[in-house]
Amino acid sequence: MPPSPSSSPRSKSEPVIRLRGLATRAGGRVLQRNIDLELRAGEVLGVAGASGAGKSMLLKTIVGLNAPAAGTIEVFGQDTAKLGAAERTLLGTRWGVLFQDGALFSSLTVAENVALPLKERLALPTALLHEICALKLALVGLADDVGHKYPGQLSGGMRKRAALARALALDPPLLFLDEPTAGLDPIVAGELDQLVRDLKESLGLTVFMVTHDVDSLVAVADRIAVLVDNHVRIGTIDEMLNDPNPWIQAYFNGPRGRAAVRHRAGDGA
Amino acid sequence: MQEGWIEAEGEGDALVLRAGGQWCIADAAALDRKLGRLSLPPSRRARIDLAAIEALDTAGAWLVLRLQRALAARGTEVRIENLSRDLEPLLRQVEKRGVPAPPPPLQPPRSLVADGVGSIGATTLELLGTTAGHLGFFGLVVVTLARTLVQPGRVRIVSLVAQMSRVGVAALPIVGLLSFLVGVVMAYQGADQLRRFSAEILTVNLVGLGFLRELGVLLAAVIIAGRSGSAFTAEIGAMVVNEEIDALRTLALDPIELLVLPRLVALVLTLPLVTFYANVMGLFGGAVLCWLVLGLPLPIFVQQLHDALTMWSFWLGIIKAPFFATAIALVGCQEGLSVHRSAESVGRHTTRAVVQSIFLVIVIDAAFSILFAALQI
Repeated sequence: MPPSPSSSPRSKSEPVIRLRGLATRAGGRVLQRNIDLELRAGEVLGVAGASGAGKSMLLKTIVGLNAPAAGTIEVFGQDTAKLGAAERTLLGTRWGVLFQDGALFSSLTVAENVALPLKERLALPTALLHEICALKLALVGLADDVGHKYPGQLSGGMRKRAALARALALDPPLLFLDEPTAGLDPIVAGELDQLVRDLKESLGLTVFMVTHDVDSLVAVADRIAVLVDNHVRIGTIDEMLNDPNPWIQAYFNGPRGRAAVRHRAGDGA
Repeated sequence: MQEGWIEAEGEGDALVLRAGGQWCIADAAALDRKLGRLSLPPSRRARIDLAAIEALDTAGAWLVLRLQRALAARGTEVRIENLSRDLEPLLRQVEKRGVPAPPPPLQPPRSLVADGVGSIGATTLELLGTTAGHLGFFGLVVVTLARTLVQPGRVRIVSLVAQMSRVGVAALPIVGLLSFLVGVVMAYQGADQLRRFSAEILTVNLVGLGFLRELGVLLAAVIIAGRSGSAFTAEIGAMVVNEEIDALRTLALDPIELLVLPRLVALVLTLPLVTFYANVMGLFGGAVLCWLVLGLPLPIFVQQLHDALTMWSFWLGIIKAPFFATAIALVGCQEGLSVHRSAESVGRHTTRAVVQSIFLVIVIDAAFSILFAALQI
């Protein structure tokens, strides 16, 4: 198992995502200006920031759900603004997105949710399709009878897992997570953190994770990007702890942040 | 990169399977076919050599593991070897999570006769359930209404006026246009037939009676059912999906009082007014056609109308409007509250609301016709 992301065998010199001078806009209001950010292959980048700082909007801008106000977005070395329709579709099969509340299709069962991208993109024989769906559900730790249930019948944690299974359906090398642990109890949230870490190590995923959960950041993220005062600061958790910015101090050196960091130190010992 | 391949050969008493290339989801279908064509002579031991594999994802890993399991199930001792170190964790992960055979989709054996009988039974039960549901909901609303009347302070005036504006005022353009056109069409068809008896003047009676007694109120009710009945279901249904109804209940607020009553009362108050407007526009359409085609000036049209109609002709139409309104509002709101937490459910119940309320409008209209005939008015 690779000890650290920098020595991960999949890492290449080319970053998976590169943002240059990006400005995001929501409803006419500019949320961030001049964001420069690189996501390296095989790493988990945690994106933190105050509520309303535009964390989710940044994610939506990168995956093309929201047009950037300025700047360029490169994913897998391609400028997303310059892609043709076919390249754009191809790009869509190379990333998976986990939405905040799962965004499972409510009229389809969990198994059908996972099968949908597979069916639409690939001509798989039915037996293999069922097997791959069952595999994805098993990978995210869902029992196989969950596949027959509808999203409305699932608990919050199970919905997140099912949505993660759908995001992983096409085995994308890049995964976007929007608040993966929001609304979950600490045990389930911890399990989900562990799952993301596990899948990242074994499947060699590159992960862009938006979260407000300090525990998640400490447990999962290799590097942290903090959106503060309309721009972004990037570093490891230790660098964040020593950052003079008052918001970052309040965030990481507040009681919850300190508890999370202490916990990690305890684990390491 | 090379596309995925696999080949088998015997090596003494052992079977050697060599796999290489790209074992990813994009090639999974082709690999599945290649694996199916592979001839695997029975042997005691087998090795799966993955040295040449260049890329692997979970789908590819599953195909390897599935092959291993298929061989193991025949009593062959299988080893997987030579997988490159960086792909090892992936295979382990897929193996650890273990893939159970997917449960076969639940499909009981089918027979045409049993299915037919079964579906008749299911439909009957559903129909009875719907009827019981409507009656129960009607009772609940009546009780709530009675309680509100005792405490008039709880009538939500703002909400009521807002609903009246939405279901009534906003519907006027479309109701007016359609009534005018139907008035024109009716007068045109009537004049064409009546001319053969030199009784063109009776076109006025036809349009007047037809509109005031039946068409005006029916047109208004059907348009409002399509416009507002569906809106009631969709609004309330979306609130159910979003758990807003539960939120109301936990705040000790009665969704019937807060959501259903304003809509019901608004519709009961506005549909007669909309009907009146539809009548006026229909008669106007008839008058315009009579003037243009039959050369009947407006004063004569009005005089003939005056002779043909009594005040009762007007009231017999208007009197039906509150009943239609009650049916439309109750069905719309009840279907909205019956929505389950899915987008599809909102659509299904909205469709049902419109179909059922138009059906009920026609049934109630027929009942009134029988009643009026019995009363000889």
